[in-house]
Amino acid sequence: MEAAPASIRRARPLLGTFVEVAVVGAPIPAMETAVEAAFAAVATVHRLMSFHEATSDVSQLNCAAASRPVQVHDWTYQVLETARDLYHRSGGVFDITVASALLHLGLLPRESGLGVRSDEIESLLHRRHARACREHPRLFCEPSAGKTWMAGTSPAMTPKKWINVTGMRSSSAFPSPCLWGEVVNLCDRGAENSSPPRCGEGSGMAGARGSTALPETVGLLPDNCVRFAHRGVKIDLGGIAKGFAVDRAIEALHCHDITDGFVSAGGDLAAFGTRQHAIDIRDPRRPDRAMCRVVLSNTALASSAGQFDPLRSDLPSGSAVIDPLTGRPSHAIRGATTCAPSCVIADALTKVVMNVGEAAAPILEHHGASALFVSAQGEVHITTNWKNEVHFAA
Amino acid sequence: MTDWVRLTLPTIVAASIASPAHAVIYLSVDAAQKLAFPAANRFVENGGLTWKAQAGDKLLGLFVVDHVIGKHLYIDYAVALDSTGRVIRVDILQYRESYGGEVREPGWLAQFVGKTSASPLKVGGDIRNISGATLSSLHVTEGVKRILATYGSRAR
Repeated sequence: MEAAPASIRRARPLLGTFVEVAVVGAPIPAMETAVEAAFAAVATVHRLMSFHEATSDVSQLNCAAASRPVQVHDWTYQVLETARDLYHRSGGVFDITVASALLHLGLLPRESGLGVRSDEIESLLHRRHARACREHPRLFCEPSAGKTWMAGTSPAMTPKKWINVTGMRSSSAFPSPCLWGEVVNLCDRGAENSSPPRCGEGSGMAGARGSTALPETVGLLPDNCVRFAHRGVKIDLGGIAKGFAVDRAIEALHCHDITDGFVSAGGDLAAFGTRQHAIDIRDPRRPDRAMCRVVLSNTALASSAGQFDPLRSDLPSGSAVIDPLTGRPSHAIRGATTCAPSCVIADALTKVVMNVGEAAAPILEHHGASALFVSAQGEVHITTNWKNEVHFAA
Repeated sequence: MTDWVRLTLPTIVAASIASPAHAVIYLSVDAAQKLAFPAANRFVENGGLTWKAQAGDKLLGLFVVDHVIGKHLYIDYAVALDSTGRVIRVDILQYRESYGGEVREPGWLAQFVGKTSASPLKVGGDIRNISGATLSSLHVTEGVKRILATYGSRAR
């Protein structure tokens, strides 16, 4: 009888979660070397893109990119390019500049001194508003109900297109300072259809690579240089870096001639080779329980839901996914899982699905992705191209 | 065009089922020691769950095993410190999540509905994984810091 092929499976604490690498079918020493290379790739992504480490590219950008171009690692630049593409394709829903909102919600640390003062935010917001109204009379943008501002290209726009900027005072629970990036963006989209854009204060950067001349909040310049449009821009790659790390680990395994491998970073995972992998998807309402099982091979899968720490509680805590159009945690959808050809795309698309639900269909289709999500009412919505692959509890 | 279908799962009880214990043994202590210190020819017990990694009489570093234990979670992990007291590597040795006692895998699987014969629900295979809310590894990271504070100077 033929012996089962040798396999190894290892796990390490990285990226704030547990990263697992499993390989099969090669000599043990070769597999150990390959797994080591895969973990090294994940550790590099961790080092470059951690919001928490002062020496990371992300911290360097958040500290300095508003005052000068900052050169970053190839991988960081690639992630920023992917993020920019996703931002545009999702109509601003996928937004790496939500870091300021996360800071204010206490989901990211403040000690690095990255916090934006609320008076700065308010002052910037006022300037943006004034400029928007002056330059784009078509834009509907006015303060209403005290701390809430509404903006859109017309009052008839769908609610999702409105910008609801709440609580600009420091006493508010959700100061949502990141939103003026969105205000600028919407204003500039308005400009696209009317007069040529004029670069207002703090937004004088043209997108260096794109065909558009519109100012970009996060400007991607040649030679891997990045510059932010103004001091308030803070980025967090937490919504995309885990998936990118999984892709780099898979690439490392390929480079070491592994033909059958699996990498998971806290449930954002990808597999290649001939084997099928059964993945249990946690119920976002009760993460200690499984809602369904999906079998996958040669693809990537990622999930988003509330945070879960089984050491402290069986129940999920608050969502870390911020709706960039409101600056608040997303509550309408409890959890989302997406399947895509690459993990970086699967990871990012979970955030889009968490925020817009079924309206994510075009971007899912563009990326050849499938998805399911659980609404607050307990309904499971699943794309038709995936329903035969996902097995629900009877 | 991507379309959606809806499934109504009104209550948690009907919609989800207790998972069987999710347990993986990644590495034995012996295997982890050898991976962390491939040049070592002996590991001398040093009290508690710590070992001195030695090549002959030369001290290469310290190997420490620790646990994270919660109501439903058990993690064994190992930290290897070099002779200057720096962390060489951290490996998870064993991970175990368990809820509602032991649920046997075949009975648990039977609760899933296979949708079509074109995608039969595969049972078995050595890989079983979980996706969903991301688990924090903070407790292990904190444990590594504690080990570094306790043993970092002793490794030298």
